[in-house]
Amino acid sequence: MSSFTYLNPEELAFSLSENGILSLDFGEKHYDSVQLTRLFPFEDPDGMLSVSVPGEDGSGELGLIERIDVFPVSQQQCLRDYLRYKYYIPNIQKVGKIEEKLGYVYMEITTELGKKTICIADVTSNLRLVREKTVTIVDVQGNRYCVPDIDALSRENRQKIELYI
Amino acid sequence: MNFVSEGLAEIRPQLDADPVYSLDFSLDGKGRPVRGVCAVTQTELLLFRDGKKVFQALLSEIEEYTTTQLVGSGTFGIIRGGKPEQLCICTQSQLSSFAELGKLLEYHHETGIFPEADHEEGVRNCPKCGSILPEGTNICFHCEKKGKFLWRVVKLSLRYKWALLAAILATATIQLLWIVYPWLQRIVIDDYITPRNADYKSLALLLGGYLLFPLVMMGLEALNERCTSRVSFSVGRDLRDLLFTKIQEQSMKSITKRPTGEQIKRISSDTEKIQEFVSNHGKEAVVRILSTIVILCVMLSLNWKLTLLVLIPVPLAVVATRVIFKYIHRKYSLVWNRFSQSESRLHDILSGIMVVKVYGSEKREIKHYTGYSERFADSMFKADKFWYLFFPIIGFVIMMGEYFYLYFGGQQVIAGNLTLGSLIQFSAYIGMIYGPLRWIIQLPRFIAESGVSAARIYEVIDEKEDVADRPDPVDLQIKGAVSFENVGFGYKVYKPVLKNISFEVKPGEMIGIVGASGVGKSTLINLIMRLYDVSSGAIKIDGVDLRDISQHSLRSQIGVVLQETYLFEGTVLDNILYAKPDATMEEVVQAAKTANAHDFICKMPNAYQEYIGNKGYKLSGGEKQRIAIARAILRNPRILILDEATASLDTETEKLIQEALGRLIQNRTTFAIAHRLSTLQHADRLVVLDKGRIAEIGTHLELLRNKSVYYNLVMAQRQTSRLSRDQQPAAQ
Repeated sequence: MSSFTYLNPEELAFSLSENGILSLDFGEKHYDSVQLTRLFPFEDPDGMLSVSVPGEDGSGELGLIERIDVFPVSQQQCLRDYLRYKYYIPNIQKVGKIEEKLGYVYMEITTELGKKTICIADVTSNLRLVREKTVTIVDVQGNRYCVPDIDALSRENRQKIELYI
Repeated sequence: MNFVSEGLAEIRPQLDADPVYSLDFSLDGKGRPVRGVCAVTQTELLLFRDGKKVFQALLSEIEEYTTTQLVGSGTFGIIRGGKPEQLCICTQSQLSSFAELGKLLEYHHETGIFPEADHEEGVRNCPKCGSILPEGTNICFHCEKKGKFLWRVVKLSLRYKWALLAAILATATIQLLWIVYPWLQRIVIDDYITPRNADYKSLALLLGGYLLFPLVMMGLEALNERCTSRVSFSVGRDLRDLLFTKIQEQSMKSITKRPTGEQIKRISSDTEKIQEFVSNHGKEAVVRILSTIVILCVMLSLNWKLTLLVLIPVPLAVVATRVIFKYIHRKYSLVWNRFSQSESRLHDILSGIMVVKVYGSEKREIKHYTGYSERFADSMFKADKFWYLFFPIIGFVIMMGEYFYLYFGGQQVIAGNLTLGSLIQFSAYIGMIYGPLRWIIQLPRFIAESGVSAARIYEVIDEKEDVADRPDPVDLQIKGAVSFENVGFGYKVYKPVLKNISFEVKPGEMIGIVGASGVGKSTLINLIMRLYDVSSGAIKIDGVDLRDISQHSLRSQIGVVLQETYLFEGTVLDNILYAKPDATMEEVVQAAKTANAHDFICKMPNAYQEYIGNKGYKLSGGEKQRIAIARAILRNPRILILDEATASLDTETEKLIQEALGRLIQNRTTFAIAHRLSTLQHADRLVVLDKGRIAEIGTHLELLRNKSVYYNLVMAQRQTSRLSRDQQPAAQ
């Protein structure tokens, strides 16, 4: 069985361009573009991140970052900025009217970006309790939304979501 | 698709000319919200963030356009001078527009023409309410009323209109006879008992009619039951047939959209609910509403003041019912969801029972299932508790009417304005009217439940076919020439799997499809079988576009042997005959012999008629595979597809299967995918795929000489085999 390697934070120097390209200086080598993947995006979003280079044969993993918070603050910021757009998921603050029409659920939600009505197909697959209190929703357009803590919603709002989990 | 950005006005002064296309993007390189605009003029591609120009490139310098789907966002980029450049970050909903923009610009790159955007892909909105229309449907589920679907059930019932009419007439007559009863009672009381009339002969005659009625009603009830059952079972059967036929005709994309458990539930439970609606609620609603009206008319004619007093609480109960109905509906939706989850879980566990046993996780699964079951029971308990709490309250409100009747009616009898017989007749009618009224109050619940079921059924029936036959499809007698012409395909518009695939295959040629995992090999053969339609370009068989050939004609001439063979419950014979139900016994045996399956079949106690159980669990992997080959041989296909047909088999079995396949491919156009490249070295030509494109085409030897992608794959595989050979003795 192949073993995995934790990368030494001291050997890594990430930088993020205005267009969101993450580059890396790793030891002697420079990589124009690398990708970070959260291995456990809900369980441990800041730990166990895979660093890979999109190469000719798909992608080659350079190794794993054990935790983001062991990096210097500027590097942490750079990694978090990259992860923010890659895992861009607006948090749902309020749930308004929910209508179920022929198996499609139309849900009025308020996120940090404002109010909108989303349409969810196959609600069993697309509205899921991914952790004890965290719910994720994927709408028909592929947009993701998250309720980080269902208990933090009002009782009425919580009951509306609980209908589907 | 609209290629006019909302932020265009802000950046317009910075452009030299009107843009041909422009799109919004809403995230910057750090994932923060931004007012982004991507504009394409006749000569340039420009990017703006918060009104500031951040990128500019000549279209003539750009070789390719790329879109990448990330987890919660996507990126749009270009390839310039052979180097990829990421330009902007957009949300998922904007990504398909960027993918479409990329296609339009690639077309411009090749032809110099800026094409009009097509409206097939991307987000569509309902013209009436503006809600998003989900993929694969033209129905706006937001506007659509559930009652419309129940009405379709009613229309379906009209196929059996005579039986339905007989049932309605029988029930209506029964109700009418019930109305006559109190009238007879009043005559007995007012004309015989109160005046002490001793005309026993007339009284006996009158009471004879009283006894005759139950007999008539019994006969009518029997007729009603018979006709109602006929209508409801027929409607249930028709819906099941419609639903099953539709599911069979759907494309793989549509079928895989819903879990198997849910599809089964729609075919069984939902149609059963509709059956119940037709037999009990639909017809009963008509009759009970009619009888309520008739009784009301009689009551009003007897004493209108008393009738109005009795009916005072009814509007109160109706309003309360409507308000509470909304909450009840939500509770019962929760029950449906919980039930569906519990059923899916059950289906999942039982399908994978082998894995459960092997890992000894029975207790964990029992706990899992019990959890789902408890959640379902809990939701049912809460919904019913709510209902049974609400129902007696409504009942109590209605019963207040009886109080008014006794108080005011009693006063009128004492005052001599009403006879005792009329009061008793009135009392009987109150009992009769409250029964249907209580039932009518429950009607919204029944209608809601049936409405949800009808909607779920018609959702599938009405679904737009994404792989459909054209109006006059060709029934082609396939010779076997296949050509791919600039074929492009992606399961999602922004995620192309195959790009610009072009090659030609002669009839009878064997083509090996080679490439690393996930490169699009299986997708390519799925396109030949037309399980999906190409996104661009065309696949032609004997010069005819695949989309012009009837799907039945095409698939009846294609044989498939897959890595995972699915055998249906039944005997060996049933499974081989699946390919050609009218084959003779000799043809079956010949096919089994050619597939090297005959010998092991003969060793089974009932030979060809041995029952092989669900999914063929009594057979080994190699045996199942040989039955699948026999099935393919019996079909005598013109085009044969072998997808990893010999993978995961031991060497001895593989040899037997290779022999069988060798016989099978003779004189047929064959497309074969195999992980072990050595099994494809005898193919006439190999098509090597790399990153969704054709990297090279040639014979095994030609490609080895090229020392390119295929050579590297072969070398890598040889090295792996050598390593595993070296490790085996060390391990021993």
